[in-house]
Amino acid sequence: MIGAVVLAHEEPRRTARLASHLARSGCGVAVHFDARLSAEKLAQFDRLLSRHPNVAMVPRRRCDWGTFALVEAALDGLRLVRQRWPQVTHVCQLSGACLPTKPIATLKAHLDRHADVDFIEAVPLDSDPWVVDGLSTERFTLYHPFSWRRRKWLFDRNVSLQRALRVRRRMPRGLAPHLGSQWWCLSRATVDAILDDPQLPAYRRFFRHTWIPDESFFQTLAAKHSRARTGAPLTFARFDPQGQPYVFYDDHLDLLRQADGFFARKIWRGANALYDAFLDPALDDLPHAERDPDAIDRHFGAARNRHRSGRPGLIFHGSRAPRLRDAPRTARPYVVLDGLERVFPDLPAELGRRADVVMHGRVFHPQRVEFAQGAPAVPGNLTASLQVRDWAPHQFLSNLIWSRRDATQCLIHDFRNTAPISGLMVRDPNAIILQLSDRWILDLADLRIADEAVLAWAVRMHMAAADQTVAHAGDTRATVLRVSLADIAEGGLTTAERIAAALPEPVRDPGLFSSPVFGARLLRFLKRRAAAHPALGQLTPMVRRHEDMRRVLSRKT
Amino acid sequence: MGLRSTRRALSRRAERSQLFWRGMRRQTELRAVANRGASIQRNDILLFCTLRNEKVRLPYFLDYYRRLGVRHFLFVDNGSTDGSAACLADQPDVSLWTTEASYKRARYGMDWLNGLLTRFGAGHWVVVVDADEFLVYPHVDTRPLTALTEWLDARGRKSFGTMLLDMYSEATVAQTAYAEGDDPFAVLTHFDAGNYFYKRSRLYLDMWIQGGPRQRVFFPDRPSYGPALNKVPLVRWRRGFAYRSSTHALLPRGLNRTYAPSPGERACGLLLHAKFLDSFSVKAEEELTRGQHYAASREYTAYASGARTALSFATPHSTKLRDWRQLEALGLMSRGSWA
Repeated sequence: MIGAVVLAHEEPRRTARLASHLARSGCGVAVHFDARLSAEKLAQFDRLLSRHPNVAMVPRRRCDWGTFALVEAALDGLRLVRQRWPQVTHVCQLSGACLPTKPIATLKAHLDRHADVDFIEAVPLDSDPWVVDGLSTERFTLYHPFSWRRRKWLFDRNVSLQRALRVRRRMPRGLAPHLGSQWWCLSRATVDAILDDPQLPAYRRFFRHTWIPDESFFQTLAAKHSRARTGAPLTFARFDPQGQPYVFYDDHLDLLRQADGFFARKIWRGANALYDAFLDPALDDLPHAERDPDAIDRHFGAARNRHRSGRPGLIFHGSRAPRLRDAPRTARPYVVLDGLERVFPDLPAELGRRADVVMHGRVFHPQRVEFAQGAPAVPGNLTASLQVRDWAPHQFLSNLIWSRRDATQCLIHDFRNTAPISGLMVRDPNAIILQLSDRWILDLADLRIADEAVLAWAVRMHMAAADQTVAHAGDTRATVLRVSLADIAEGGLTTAERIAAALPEPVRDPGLFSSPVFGARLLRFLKRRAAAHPALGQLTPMVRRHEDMRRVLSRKT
Repeated sequence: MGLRSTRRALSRRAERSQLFWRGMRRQTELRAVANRGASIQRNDILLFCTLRNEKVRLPYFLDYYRRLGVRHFLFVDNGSTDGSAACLADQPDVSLWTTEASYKRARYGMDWLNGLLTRFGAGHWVVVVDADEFLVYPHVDTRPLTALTEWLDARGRKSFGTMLLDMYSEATVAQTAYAEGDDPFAVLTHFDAGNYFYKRSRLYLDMWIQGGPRQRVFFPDRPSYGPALNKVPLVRWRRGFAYRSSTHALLPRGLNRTYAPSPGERACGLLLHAKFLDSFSVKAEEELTRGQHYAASREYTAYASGARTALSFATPHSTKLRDWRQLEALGLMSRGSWA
């Protein structure tokens, strides 16, 4: 026979259903109700469960969260079970919000196979970081007379005072502190050993003023008395990042049917479908769900991740919005072309044709917003409105990247543009900036300046401006790749491979960067003005050679 | 705490107490038509709403929130002429007050509601919405509102944040026919999924949200005129709390902190806005002449100056509503750790 001690605080109707199910399945059930529960609510329990021989009531105590009264109630329950049903082989501690997730017969068979095993999580205090949040060693070395839930201020003052006074309580001799979940199942031998331990009164005195003794009292004593012990508990429970148990609702039915263990906690009081399904005597007949224990961990792991780190690149009202001076929050890597599109004129069109790539134009052009294909909006209705963009440029960028987070987006931007967005993109780890470092040469070639002195001045100005851009901005977190015209003209495939290596998968293709076009205008400018600056002089033969070769090749084909 | 922040805290305190007493004072403007407040039980979820001429929407509205688990409704009827009052007064779970006083002078109805919230809301989870706002939260299809409020209680949270999501049909607004009792979202099927902008107010800690179809269509050149979309419609009320401006922000300001300190996501929801039905044009004309709405009825003016009958919000980039999971996947709401 299996014994059960059920510690209930509220919802006597739910507890009654649980108790009657256990009792009808042949378990001996000792039910303890919190003394704070009103008499009329308790009457509901009596009405629903009129004196079943397998149900007994434990004298009621007032059980605040984490107090020793919970342990006393459990001890009373254990004594009662032993006295009423002397033939019990195991005793489980359950809460009023537990449900069996498998037929009791299966549990019984399991316990019969492991007659002397205690199913209790008991982690030595000093070995394992079982405690998620809050005190650890000081649970035992300090006195904790105040309720942490209701007298938080006093609790904290009391702890700091004792720290200052260097209070150090000692464990009773022969005990090593262990911690673990309070939903355990002990073998009869261990229950007897604990209840008949001559030191029990001393242990009770000690644990009365520890913190959350219901997570340590039975764990510590089981560690002392147990002959065989397994940490795999019979009750399935998971805890959220705030240390609260996850609550199970009707929509968890499929998940719980795959859960490990024989009970689940904590079931929401309104989960009618769960109560109906799991307390149905026909539970054994249901076809067993395809077991996928990872499904549960995936489910709650995802919740933990959402709570802790959120989805990357998402700005919404569930987490604090980034300020303009923060790095922008973007969902995935994106490519920013600065000048390269001048030397590789087919590049934008080529990128735009690829699958899973979205090639925008100059999204942050001072006078307009150029989305891919000149569209007036992107999915989600972010519109190509200059006013909207400049009103909140960092979130405009975040929204844009989020809107097509299934694709790699590319855009063209001139980093000499001093709008805040330039600095923002440089600080964004997701930005991959491909920059032509001597773009100023192309700009000068366009200008057709006749006067030598003016040209020399313009060269100085443009070089100074180029120095101000990306590479020299502080706090650069973007991937910035700067290539010069000389790199492209002379480097050939090596440069193309270097550029491609910096790019994400769908655009990582050296072929995109293997055929530059410098154009006759640049060559004319270089030939005529090579003397204006040493950089121009060096570049001239390279570009000339390259353009000659291109002419020859194009004639051949 | 520095001198300046102390001074600001005190001035917020003064503002809160002013709002509180203002709400109490304005209770004299209300005349009880049906006060069934005595039937409210402990732990009941209550809904508070001010309305004017919303009879068409009411049957579905009541039905929707009853299904979610609202146990009692408290309405202020501001001079309806379409029989809204009669419709409400007959409902067994509705308390109704009526007033002819100025909506604008009652701070767009908030004073009346603040007073009622003080009188009836303390100790309860309260839903404060307009008659065209429908609360959607994670798991709304399988878990009633009490599941959410109990979960919030267990985590010590006193409020639940939402964004107002304007819903529209594929047709023009004038052609979006709606009959009393129907599900408005059978016709209002589309929304904007990705054009919202967020800013945290440092003084009141509320998350200021602008964007969406109204900003896109009515204020393309003046985005800052866009309507505020942040709402805190679900609060565990205590005496002394007060809504500050519409349901966008509350005092004390900690109630506005419904978001996670970044990074991370808090559970949050949406209010689906069933405003753009064919009745909108009628309402717009009326409101323009009454001039009782916020910021000199800017929105209605923009509407009137535009192509009235051809007004439509749908574009090829609009998104069709499926369910809350879709809304979560789009990043418009989150389960947070409420798995």
